[in-house]
Amino acid sequence: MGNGQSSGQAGQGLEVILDPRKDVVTSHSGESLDILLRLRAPVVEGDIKRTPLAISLVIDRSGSMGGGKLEEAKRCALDLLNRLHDEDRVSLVVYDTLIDVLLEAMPVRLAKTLMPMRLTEIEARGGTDLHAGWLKGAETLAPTAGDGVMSRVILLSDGQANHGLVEIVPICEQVRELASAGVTTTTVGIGMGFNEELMTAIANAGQGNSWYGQRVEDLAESFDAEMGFLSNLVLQDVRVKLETPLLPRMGQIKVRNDYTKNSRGQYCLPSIAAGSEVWMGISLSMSEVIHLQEAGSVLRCVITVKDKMGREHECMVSLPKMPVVTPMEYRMAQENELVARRFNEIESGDIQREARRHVQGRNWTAVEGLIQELEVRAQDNPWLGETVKYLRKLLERRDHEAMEKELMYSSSKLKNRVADMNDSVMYCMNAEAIKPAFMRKKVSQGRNSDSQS
Amino acid sequence: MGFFINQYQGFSGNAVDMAAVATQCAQFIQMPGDLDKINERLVRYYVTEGLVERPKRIGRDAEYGYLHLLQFLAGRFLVEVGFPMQKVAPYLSGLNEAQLESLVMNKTKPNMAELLVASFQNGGRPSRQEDSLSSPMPKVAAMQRIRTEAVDLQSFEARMIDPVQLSSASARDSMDKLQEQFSYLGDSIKAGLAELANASHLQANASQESMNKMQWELERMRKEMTLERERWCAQMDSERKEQRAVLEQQTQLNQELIKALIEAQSKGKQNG
Repeated sequence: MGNGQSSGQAGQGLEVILDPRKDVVTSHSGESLDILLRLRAPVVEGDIKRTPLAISLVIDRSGSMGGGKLEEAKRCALDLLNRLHDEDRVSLVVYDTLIDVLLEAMPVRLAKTLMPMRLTEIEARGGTDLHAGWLKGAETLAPTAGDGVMSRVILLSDGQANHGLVEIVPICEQVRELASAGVTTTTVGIGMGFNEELMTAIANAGQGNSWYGQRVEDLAESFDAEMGFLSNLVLQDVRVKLETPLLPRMGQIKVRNDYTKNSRGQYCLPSIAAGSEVWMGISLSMSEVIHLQEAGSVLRCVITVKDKMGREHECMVSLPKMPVVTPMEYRMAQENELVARRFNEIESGDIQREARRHVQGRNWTAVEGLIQELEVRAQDNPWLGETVKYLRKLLERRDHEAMEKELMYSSSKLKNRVADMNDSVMYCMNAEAIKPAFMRKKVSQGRNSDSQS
Repeated sequence: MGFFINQYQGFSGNAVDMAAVATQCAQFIQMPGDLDKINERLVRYYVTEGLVERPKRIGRDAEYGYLHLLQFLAGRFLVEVGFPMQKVAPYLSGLNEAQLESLVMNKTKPNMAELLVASFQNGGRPSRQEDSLSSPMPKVAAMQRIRTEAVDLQSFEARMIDPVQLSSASARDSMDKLQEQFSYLGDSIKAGLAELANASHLQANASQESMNKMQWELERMRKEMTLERERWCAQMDSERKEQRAVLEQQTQLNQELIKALIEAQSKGKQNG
């Protein structure tokens, strides 16, 4: 354990680690003090009981879902049903411009009889009232939302919302509020025609995951990843409050991920599955830290989580006092490899978002410049390197549709991904393929693991 | 208990009557919260906030009915158990009389997710306080009424018969009619103005209440910040004390170590 590292334990098997990029600080360097907060849930031998689930499958049946997409979605729905436990609950909602609840929320043992029949009734037609479909799905889960149950709407769409409420901000505001009340949302995009900005924003606000498949055959892995994640859930409602005299408005402290903040000033992190970690990158003003650390602790992270039984646990971890050294000594000090890598990935994610804006404006010169910048950053990171190579291929083909989607989902993955507990700099797709789908580091986010090369 | 609320099915009255009946009901069904706070001002406030539908207008008076009573009691219950008013209003607007009765009598509160879903389904942006402040609706209605009366007066003047052509008897009749119509028009204008004044008064009250709310919120924030500062200071003090204690212990240990070393040295010398 390095000098600057802090760690703690909370509740059932939550491991909390706070690592700075370097164990020392220096004044007048102009650099920020980067720290990485990691919340890990190790696999406990023999502990097979998971959080009960209540899932609402909300399937787009608009006209564009024809041509095999709808049939694949039905197949995935049945596959998901078979992976649920009998005591879990499930509902089925389909939407175009009209919304139909084909299955009210009911125990899985009943749904196993009814759902196959209901699914055969679905036919592709009409427009896309995505918001109303989502809201109906949430309505079916609302009565049981609360302690001890993971309520999740899985929203599938292949098109642009063109009916009812279509603006991103009000939709996400509603999704965020419902997630705080216990109904979370995951989105699954399919094809090239859906609104990736809306779908990732909904998943981010809904404290869920965002997946996408470019082709019909890529859809199954998205469902597999979501189901794998939900099946291994051990801790949910993960909240982190940063207690510090540093002022966010003055830029003295900045959370580098996309996590939303609730009304109590806590950051809402993804739920934690067994064998994985969720993490938070925080940048502090180094000069302010040096100034303030004489008077006591500069940063305390108060973490609250709910276990499988719905019991709340709290844990705190503080940034220890760090030795102040000269700028020369600071440059010579050893970097924590994982912290440096994660911050490099966060910054690469930011560059990818900027590149996406230029792709939308078809400013290919600017995109070229940013891809070069990404290539430089990817030199010591093989996974990032492979991702950038794929982006370059898309750039050479001037494939703006695929590039916009890849850049959006890849940046989201780089900034907010649920990581493997043994996350290492080494990268090999064969090794990734044997990991659970939700933890896989993929080169192309929209393709299944068999089509990565 | 159901019979108790059902006996008010034919209820009809103004804000004062409704406050009185609501207090009685709230007491009987053991509703949480302070009963003394139920008064006609609270009834009007709930109307402004959208928890209770706007009452019927009969002249200058507002008439509330059984549905208003149920909405008031249900709204009071949900607000008292901690739900935000902006979410309660659209939730209640989606409930019918039977559902409201069930909510009031059984006190079966929804969970937050149900409340939110209902509020999103019934319009999403429910706070009618801002609407009532920003929208000039009551004023416009009253002004329109005055304008209509003025137009009636003009048309009446246009229809006036030349007085020279009138015989004295018919002239007297016409004069009586004219007087009657003027007096009617005067009353209408007076009622319109009163309505306007009432609307302005309501609006002023709502503004005052929102100002009070903001002031209260600011005060709360100030207190929270003071507490936070005190907490940090206390923590810093305790950490400083701990550091001092550790340093003292270390000094003491060092001194004892030095003493022990000197003693060992002197013993060694003696032995040598």
